[in-house]
Amino acid sequence: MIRLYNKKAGERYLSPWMFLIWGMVVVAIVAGILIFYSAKADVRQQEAQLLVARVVDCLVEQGHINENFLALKENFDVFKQCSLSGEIIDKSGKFYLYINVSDELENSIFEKPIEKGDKSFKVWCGVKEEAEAEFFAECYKKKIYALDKDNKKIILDIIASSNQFGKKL
Amino acid sequence: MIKRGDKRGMGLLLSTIIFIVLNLVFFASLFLFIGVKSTGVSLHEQVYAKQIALLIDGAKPGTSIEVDIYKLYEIAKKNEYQPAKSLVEINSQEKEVKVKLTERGKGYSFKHFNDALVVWGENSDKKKLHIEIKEAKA
Repeated sequence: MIRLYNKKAGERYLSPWMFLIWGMVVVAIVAGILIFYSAKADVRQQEAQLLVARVVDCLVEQGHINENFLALKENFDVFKQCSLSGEIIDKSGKFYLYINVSDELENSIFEKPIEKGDKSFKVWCGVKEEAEAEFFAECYKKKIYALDKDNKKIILDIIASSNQFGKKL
Repeated sequence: MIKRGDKRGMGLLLSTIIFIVLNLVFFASLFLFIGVKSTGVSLHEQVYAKQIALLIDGAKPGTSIEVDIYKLYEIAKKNEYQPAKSLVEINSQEKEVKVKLTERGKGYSFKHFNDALVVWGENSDKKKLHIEIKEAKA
């Protein structure tokens, strides 16, 4: 039995062990609460879909492809023509946009596809198809069939990708 | 004159007081942390900032949007936050939507990629956010 007068009072309560136990309790509770309340609203997939929709809306009108786009090819300013922000899509490092145009035999019409933003996202999109990767950019691919002025079939391959999580200030 | 036994008693009393004070500080900060986290402020800031940004992204020039932000005002009121201007801020230059619901916090920001001019206004009486998407100036 421990006699009170044999123990210093401070030793009883303020020992390092007590602080260690308190620390462990704090860490456990804080971790639990953070996990419970850290629900995230992930809208990267929706953003990618919206970006594709905006591009399709701008390049195809009533089933016919924008002739200006076919004429200018790679020099077509997709940002200006489609009212998209180049600063955000091309320079923020959080987006990727790929547009390839081919004929009905799937031969590319443009010398090279239009690519804007972080090109590494295209690789990430491939990885995401094979495996789960939560922090890789979310992708959305769409193949669109349209007609040119001679009513020949044109195929548009569009990939949009977003990795924007937002920012707590 | 303080006797030896009295000294021991004083020490015991002092350490007990320190122990109780530390306990109070510990539990108070813990409950404060739980209280702040459980109001869902940060989640609502995030959800509304993203929803508004997506609405702007999907809108064509000429579109008018009205967003019900009653819930944001409820949370701000609960947190005794009186915004100087508005709970939601849309910066057309930075392409940024910012939502702030507490005095202490700095809010949440989310970028939109629509290059159109975004004109907006918040009606604090009706608790609605009005957004108009206009053709960007060349």
